[in-house]
Amino acid sequence: MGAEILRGFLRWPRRRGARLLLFTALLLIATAQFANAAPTYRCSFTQDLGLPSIARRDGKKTLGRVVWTDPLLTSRMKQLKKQLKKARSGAVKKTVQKNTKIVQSLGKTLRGCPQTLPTPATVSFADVAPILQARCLSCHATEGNWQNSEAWYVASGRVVAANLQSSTLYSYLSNNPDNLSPGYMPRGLSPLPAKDIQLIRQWILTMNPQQVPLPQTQFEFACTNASIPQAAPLKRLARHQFINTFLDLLSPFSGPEQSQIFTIVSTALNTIPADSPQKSVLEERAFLGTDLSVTPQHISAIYSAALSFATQVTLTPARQATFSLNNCSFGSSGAARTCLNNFVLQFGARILRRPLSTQEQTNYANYYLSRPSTTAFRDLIVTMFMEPDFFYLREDRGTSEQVEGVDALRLTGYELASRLSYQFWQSMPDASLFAAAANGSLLTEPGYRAQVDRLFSSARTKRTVDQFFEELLGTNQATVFNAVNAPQFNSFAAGLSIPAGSSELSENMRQEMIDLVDHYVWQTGQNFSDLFLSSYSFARDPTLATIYGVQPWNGSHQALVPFPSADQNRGLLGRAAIQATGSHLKSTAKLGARILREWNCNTLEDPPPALMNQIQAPAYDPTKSTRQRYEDLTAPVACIGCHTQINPVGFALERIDALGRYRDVEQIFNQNGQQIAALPINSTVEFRSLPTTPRTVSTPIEVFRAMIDSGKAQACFAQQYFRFSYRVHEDLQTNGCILQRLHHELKREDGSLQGMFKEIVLSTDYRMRRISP
Amino acid sequence: MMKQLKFDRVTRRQFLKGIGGGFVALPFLPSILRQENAFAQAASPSRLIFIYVGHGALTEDKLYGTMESSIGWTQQQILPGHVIRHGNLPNGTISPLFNASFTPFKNKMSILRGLDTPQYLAHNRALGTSLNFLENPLNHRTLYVQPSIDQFIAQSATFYNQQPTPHRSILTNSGGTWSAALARTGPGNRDFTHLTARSIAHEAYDEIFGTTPTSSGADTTAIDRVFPAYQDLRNSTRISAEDKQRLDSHIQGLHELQQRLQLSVSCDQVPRPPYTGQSTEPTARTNAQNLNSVIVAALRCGQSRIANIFLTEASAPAFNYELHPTIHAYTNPAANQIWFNQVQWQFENVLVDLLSKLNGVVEANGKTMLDNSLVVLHWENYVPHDNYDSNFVLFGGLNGKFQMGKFYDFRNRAVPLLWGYNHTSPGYVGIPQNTLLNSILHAVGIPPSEYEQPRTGAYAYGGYSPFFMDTDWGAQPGGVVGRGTLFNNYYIPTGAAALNSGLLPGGLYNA
Repeated sequence: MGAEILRGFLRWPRRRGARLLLFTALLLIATAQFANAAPTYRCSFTQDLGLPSIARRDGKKTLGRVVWTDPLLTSRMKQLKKQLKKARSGAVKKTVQKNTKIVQSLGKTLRGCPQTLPTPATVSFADVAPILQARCLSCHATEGNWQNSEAWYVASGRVVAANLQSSTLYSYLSNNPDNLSPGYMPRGLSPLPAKDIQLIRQWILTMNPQQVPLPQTQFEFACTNASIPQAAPLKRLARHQFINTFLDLLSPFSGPEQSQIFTIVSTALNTIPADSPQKSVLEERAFLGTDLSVTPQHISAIYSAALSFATQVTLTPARQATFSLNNCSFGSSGAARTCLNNFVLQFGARILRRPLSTQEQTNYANYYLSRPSTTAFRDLIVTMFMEPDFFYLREDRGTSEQVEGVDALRLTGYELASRLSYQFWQSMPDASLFAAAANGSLLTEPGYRAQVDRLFSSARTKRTVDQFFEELLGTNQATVFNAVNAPQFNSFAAGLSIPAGSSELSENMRQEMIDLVDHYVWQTGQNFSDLFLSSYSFARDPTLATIYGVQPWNGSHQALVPFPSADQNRGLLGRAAIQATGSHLKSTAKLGARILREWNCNTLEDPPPALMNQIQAPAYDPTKSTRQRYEDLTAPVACIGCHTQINPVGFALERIDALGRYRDVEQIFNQNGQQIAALPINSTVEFRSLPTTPRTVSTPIEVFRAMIDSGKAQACFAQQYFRFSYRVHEDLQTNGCILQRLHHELKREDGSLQGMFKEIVLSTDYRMRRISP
Repeated sequence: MMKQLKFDRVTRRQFLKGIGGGFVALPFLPSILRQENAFAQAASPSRLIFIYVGHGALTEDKLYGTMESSIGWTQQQILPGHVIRHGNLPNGTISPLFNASFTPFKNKMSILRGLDTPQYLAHNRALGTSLNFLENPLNHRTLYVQPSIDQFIAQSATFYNQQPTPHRSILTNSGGTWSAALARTGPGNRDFTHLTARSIAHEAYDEIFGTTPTSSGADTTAIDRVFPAYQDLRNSTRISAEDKQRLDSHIQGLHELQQRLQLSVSCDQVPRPPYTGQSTEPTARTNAQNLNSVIVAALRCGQSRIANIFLTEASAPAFNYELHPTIHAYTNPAANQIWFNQVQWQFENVLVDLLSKLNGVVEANGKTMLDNSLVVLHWENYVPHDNYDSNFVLFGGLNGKFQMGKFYDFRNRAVPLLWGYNHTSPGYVGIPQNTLLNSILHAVGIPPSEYEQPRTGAYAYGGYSPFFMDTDWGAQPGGVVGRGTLFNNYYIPTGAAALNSGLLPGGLYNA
């Protein structure tokens, strides 16, 4: 029908020439119409930017571009405005105005586009698992053997079903829940492509909260095969280890003389830089031993200390005789030469922590003989201190083996002696350990265990365990109370004797932690959960006891002082040493984050840089409790992802005030210290940072109990001890077996903390080192 | 009628004779100069003291007081469309922060504002990383980081060889061991460490004066003979690449130690300060002032030519608030006042003491050590960590190389800033911060070849383009997008070349 009309229309002019003319005219008109037609755009999405965009269908450029996004249009509009101002001729003005209209029209079209991607069909975890595995878990594989499961993401609070805003995972991957703009993670790597972000987005959005299976089991490390030995880096001695070793090398001297010399040498030892482990922005602590950096300051300080040491031990003939161990006087011939050789042999083996080769003995003796007689002995000692074998814990001389297909070294007896000694004593091996290395018994199982038992039973090991707890708890840093003599604090602490600016109370709080650890680890040999959930006060100080509402403890391990009620039990982390801030205000979020990071080993990233500047204490508001103020402060989308995890812990711990007192109400003071409100504490929360089903808790001890019940507190403690011992972060792929053994020791009914501290050195892989390229 | 004077024509021979006589007389000219001028010709070592105050968060009213109206401003165009202004510091007290205690130094200080850094979060430790990123390279593995400027100069072969000193730099922080000094530990992008500062005066003394011979070079054979052992270990196939890098640093450190021990230092007896404690206000002040004494003595005695001082909140007494939130709550007057009080305590008790001590030493050229040195005081923007309008105050002037007694405002107040860490904060486009760093490098004679960045093709410390971004950022259509921030109104890239080869414009630096 249509074709017939067209044929009739074309036949209408009678003459062929007229028909051709008409056809050409129509063609020209149609072409012109087509050329003048407004170009059509389709809505699209600029994936790199995560922004809606419009793209011209015919692929031709408009004002130089095919694809337009809002920032581009805004930028072009500014340019046009400037051009319009500068335009002098009417023609230019006209062009600019025409272009302005085009840009406005493009903007209108763009605003009509969907601002988010279209909703696809349901996405399952299996679809996103490979992305998470490849792009996230390469760095974040620290959470256990079931991390890459949907249940884990939900249980840990990283993903909240059908809720992008509360899903931490998404807020890190994308800046904006409304589009696919790349976010803060993967940090330091290229951002996830928009299609991957979209997939994860849809997985979360289409997840049915009722159908997510949550595990009821406890946390477990994966031990899929035999442990591969840890790839230990070449470690220098830590600062305190240098100091201890210098002191031990003075052992030939008697007590007073040793002290006298050591006091002088300490001047130089104090110039060894403080160990300063790398931490993320908000992380508060990391074990000192993990600082492996070597700076010119270290080298200079060790030289100074060596010079001071050598000068002192050779200061008088009497000291030389004592220090040489053989009542020797030094010279270049006869008996003196024998003295020299003996000294090199004996002192060399102690300071280098291994026997010297014949060549080394000869070299040292020759060096001595090349020096002026007045300084030869001193110079000999100094040069020994400068050797790499003194500065570093060398573990490169063992026999090589293959373990699980990887190259490893079995430590020599001497290397093992040093490893054990610095593990338990933070210093060089003693004579007995050296002897066990020399006679080979340390490389036998009974001989090794005998030495482990001997070392472990020493008071020096107790000091090391105390150091471990102090570093982990942060109690090695004193809190100064009421530093500004603020009226609010004076009212807050009314009735307690706390001098302004004093750290005495802080010292007493710290002492309580030492006593607490001593009781459970050494006096009664109990298990981790006993310590972690302890229901006794160890406050000797009357002020601290008043804070707890109990009588002071008299130091007797048979007469313990229970807290006033089961609700008020503090466990390990509810003590004043952890809870007190020095002012009348509590650090609620900080405390929550700290407990999750350091005692539950949750991976809480530092906030993205964009948020750093917005971290402020919640605004003062006498009508709101701390919880309410923190809830308001952390409500924005950008915050709530992490604070979904952090806040519950902090809020439950609101039961304890900024001095460590248990409370039911929160007192609010004005600037003059006048109490203007007493708000009830609401500490009931859903604790969801566990590998098991979220649990409703309302007291500090219930939080700690939940951590124990999930097995996570024990697991985290095992991880922390691993880090302290090996001075590196664990690798779950290769260290799963040893972590599992430590974890099980902590969880066993008849297990003990002592057992775990020892367990780490009893495994066979402790006696090996993986060679890493 | 004035008498017409008539001269005989000077012959070529007469002219040559005159010139010759002039050359003969040249060596004797100093003897006829006034003594002050003769002193001026004596060489004075370039000494640099970098002082960093953490956080920024000092509001404009406290920083600048009424200077806006009390300074007679001179406008100066430094680039097409970019007008800056400068003027003499006002009579009387400068501002609440630079109160009457700074009056004696008014002619020896210049205040700078309007220096910008492009990094997103200007936790740049100020003097430090310039156009680099954060202070912790581990946080941003792919980003390119530079040593802090003090460590860069300390390790510069040119600077060191001008006058070798036993210590490359002196680092102090009376409140702790953290220093703003970021040093390279290896060639990699992540091979950096923050050096340890000395917090207690007598420990700083021991480190500096404890082992350095004061008359003649020490014997170093005890060190010489251990190099082969380190080399053997370094060549072992049983240690990792990371271990090898650590050993390389160690070997370099041993060389440093050798050099240091072989230098001879001449100085009169410097007393060892007593230990005072630090926990109360008087003892904290005494310790900080004793640290100043140690620094000044070390510079005077030629122990070092560089000092880096971190004036931290922790070193001022009575600060036990929740530190981070209190400082960052800069819009809360009460909280900001607490922070201001802490900084003011530092300035009045520590900074002024240091300046006084430097000013009390008269050197061979007749000028004071302060005049001959450059003290660079810096903190970040009053919006904490914002990346524009950093605050710098220069003292001393490095023997006239930097103009003193001035206020330089480098902001182009015709161009509002659309970017910045905090989008809502007001601001104007300034000039890149590294123009100052470049000027310092230039002033101490370090050639650009030591700090040019081949990867950017630029010619300044840390690279010159303010938009030097790495993979973490990236150019996007419509501008450079970094974490949602659109840098589209900052025109310095096109004008950079005009900025006098990357040096400070406007006459502040006398190149």
